[in-house]
Amino acid sequence: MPQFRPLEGVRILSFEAAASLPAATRALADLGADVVRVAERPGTYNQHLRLFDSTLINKQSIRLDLKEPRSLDLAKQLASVADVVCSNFRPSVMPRLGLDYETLRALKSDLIVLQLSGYGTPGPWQDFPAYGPSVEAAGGMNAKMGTANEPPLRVGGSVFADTLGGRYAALAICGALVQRDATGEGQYIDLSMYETIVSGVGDAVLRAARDGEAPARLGSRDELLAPQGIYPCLGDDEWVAITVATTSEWAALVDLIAAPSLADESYRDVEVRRRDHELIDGEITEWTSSRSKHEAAEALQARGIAAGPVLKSSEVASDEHHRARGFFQYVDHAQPLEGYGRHPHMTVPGRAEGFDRAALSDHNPDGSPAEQVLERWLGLSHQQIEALRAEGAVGELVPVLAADAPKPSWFGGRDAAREPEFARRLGLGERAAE
Amino acid sequence: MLRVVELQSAEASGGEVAAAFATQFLQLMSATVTVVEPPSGSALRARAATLDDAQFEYLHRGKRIEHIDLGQDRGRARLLEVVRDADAVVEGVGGDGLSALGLDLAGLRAANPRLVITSVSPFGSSGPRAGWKSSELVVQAMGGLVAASGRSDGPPTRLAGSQASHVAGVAAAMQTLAAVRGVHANASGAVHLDISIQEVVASHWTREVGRYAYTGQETPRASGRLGLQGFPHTVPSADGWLFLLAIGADWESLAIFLGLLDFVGGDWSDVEYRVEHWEEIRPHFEAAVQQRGRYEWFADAAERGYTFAPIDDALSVLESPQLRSRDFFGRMRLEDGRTVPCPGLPFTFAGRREEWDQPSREAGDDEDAATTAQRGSGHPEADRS
Repeated sequence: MPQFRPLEGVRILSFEAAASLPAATRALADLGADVVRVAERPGTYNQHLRLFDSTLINKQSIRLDLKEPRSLDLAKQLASVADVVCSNFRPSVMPRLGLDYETLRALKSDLIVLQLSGYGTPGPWQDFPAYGPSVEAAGGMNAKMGTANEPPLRVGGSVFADTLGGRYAALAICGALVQRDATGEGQYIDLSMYETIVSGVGDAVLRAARDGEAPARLGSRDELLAPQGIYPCLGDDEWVAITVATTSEWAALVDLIAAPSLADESYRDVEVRRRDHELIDGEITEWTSSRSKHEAAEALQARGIAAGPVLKSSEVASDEHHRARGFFQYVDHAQPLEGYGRHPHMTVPGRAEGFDRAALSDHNPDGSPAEQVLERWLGLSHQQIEALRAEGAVGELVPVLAADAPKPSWFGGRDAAREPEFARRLGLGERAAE
Repeated sequence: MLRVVELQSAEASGGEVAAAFATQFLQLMSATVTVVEPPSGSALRARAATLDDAQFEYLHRGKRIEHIDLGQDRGRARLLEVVRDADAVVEGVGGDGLSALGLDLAGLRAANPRLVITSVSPFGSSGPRAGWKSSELVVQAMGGLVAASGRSDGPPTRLAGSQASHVAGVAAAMQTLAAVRGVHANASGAVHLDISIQEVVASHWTREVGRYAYTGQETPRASGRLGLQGFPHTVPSADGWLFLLAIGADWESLAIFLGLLDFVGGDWSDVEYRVEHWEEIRPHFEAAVQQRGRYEWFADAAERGYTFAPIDDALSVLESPQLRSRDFFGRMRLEDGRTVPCPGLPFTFAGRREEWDQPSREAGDDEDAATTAQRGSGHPEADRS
């Protein structure tokens, strides 16, 4: 089947760092856009993180030292044939380089320009540095997680807000493309990662504005449906999530877990179940504790109750449902990375009927990406490109993972355990000789 | 201006909130959104009737609602009429939900051969769990992020609010617009997108899933533990919680900034040593952070390149000077006549914010008056129309 490439022909020049904008352009690349990333100086971002984040896949990179006039000229030439120029450098950087919106628009009047930043520009915090977890904290996510008696909690993934900011950026770019195709006009888009979090808890913010107080923190419970929770299962740190939504589901649950104390007719009323949630949780835990999370979820689903295993980072890529849908695809590396010739990576979520998911390229595509980009976008000949190289306008790309790249042993916590069986579990094949 | 139809049914399928989020974004980007609801009301409306949590108003602002009985021939004919002029249909009713409504994809395509149909469901329309029952909590858990959220010594914890539905709504809206662009640019036929909320949630922790794939390292739960610098990230300041993050910062400078002068130099430079002696540092650390307000810490830390942040909740975030100066909050008119602030889109086109002041409008109301109530728009195309 053909691949779904609705953005075929759209050229995106991306001045990207860290994780947010790279997630945006990765999603757009999977949908067919021709994404050229202006690579940062070596060592400015941990190369392992770039690898784990999968954000180099399906893009080509070109190295330009933007402080050098000849490189900057080349960047402007690329911008003049692009549809979209985007950046998540600090907001002051692009204007300082002479790549502000007005200058870019003078190069191409219908250009779409996007600036993504932690807090958005303009604004009193426009120059404040931010990582995803900081804007999650500031935007109201942490304070709404957990229960009333505990400190605010954190989202488990370190790139939640980055991915969200990236997705909103991709949404804005797609909107601007549709608009440009209809009107012939370009656009300037400013995106605040902080605001993506506030929007995501926006109903709670609206409610707080209405009621004069923040909504109560309920942990994993629901305000209306009961019981709902995350219950321990057999094994170490194994859990199942359960939601009982209707009276008939409640009856099915009581029957399944055979808890006489819950047989009382009054429990058909959800208000009574909410009142006695602790007691009900105790009975459910009694039942789940002697079963694996998969076994518990399947038994509950067989009775028509919403339930699912809490999947760990180690279980997502090998999840049978993801496998059946082709959500993960193996990326074959030109050279082994971290000892293996291939690794599974996510495709853009969702699929189009009658089309294959996007094929995934290696992090380091074959050949010389800079040469391919300059030839494809600017029509330069081999000799012209060689001349640019000779005068230093185009730098050499560094491999995605240099042999001496510092290991982020601290990443995700200082005490993360390493599972010996992971390669077999993920089907990575034989370990390459050192 | 794009025309979008959102299909809702009386039965909750697990995709209804995400579908409503997706069309909400499109509406705020100035698409005309018509919500097709059964005469008895949608599952979202039924929840709102029992629980006044403002979600219904949040998801429906600016949309036009049309009650159509799809059990009747006349109702189905009316739907096809609406679909004929639409660019996209977004539905969260599930595969069985569509047939329960008497609809199928072929019928929608026949009515409009260039239609983009976006289906949003917990697990997608194929795969062994396609038919599984779900909830916001269940799909968050199976997406995976929940496993690493919560205290290191406690159970996994759900993310705030309807976060799975929210992120899936963003992904669905983005792909819908990409597909519309493709249909326009290539003059191609109808497209059906199958968006799995589970996949979208999983994609929000690519780094942790990728880290396991490359190193075999599992991601532990994030909260309560001592971080990279050997102290916890979440600490009370003089006026609320402060989030302390300073990745890659040099300990000496950071300790001086925090006023921990007794813990500079010598063994204290070693993070493992600091973790071992955390109980010694803790009282000084906590007292130091307590000395100043969270916004004060935040601004001073930013000057030094540290990524601290004030921890705000749904109420205090309304006072954020950044959001206020950026005019982030739109206005929502409540049934009791009051007008209150309500978050808008997290991006602007040409620096302009969309504006609205009414939650939704029913078809058959005075539609001209209702349209006027949506004053202007952040979208230049809409401003001209």
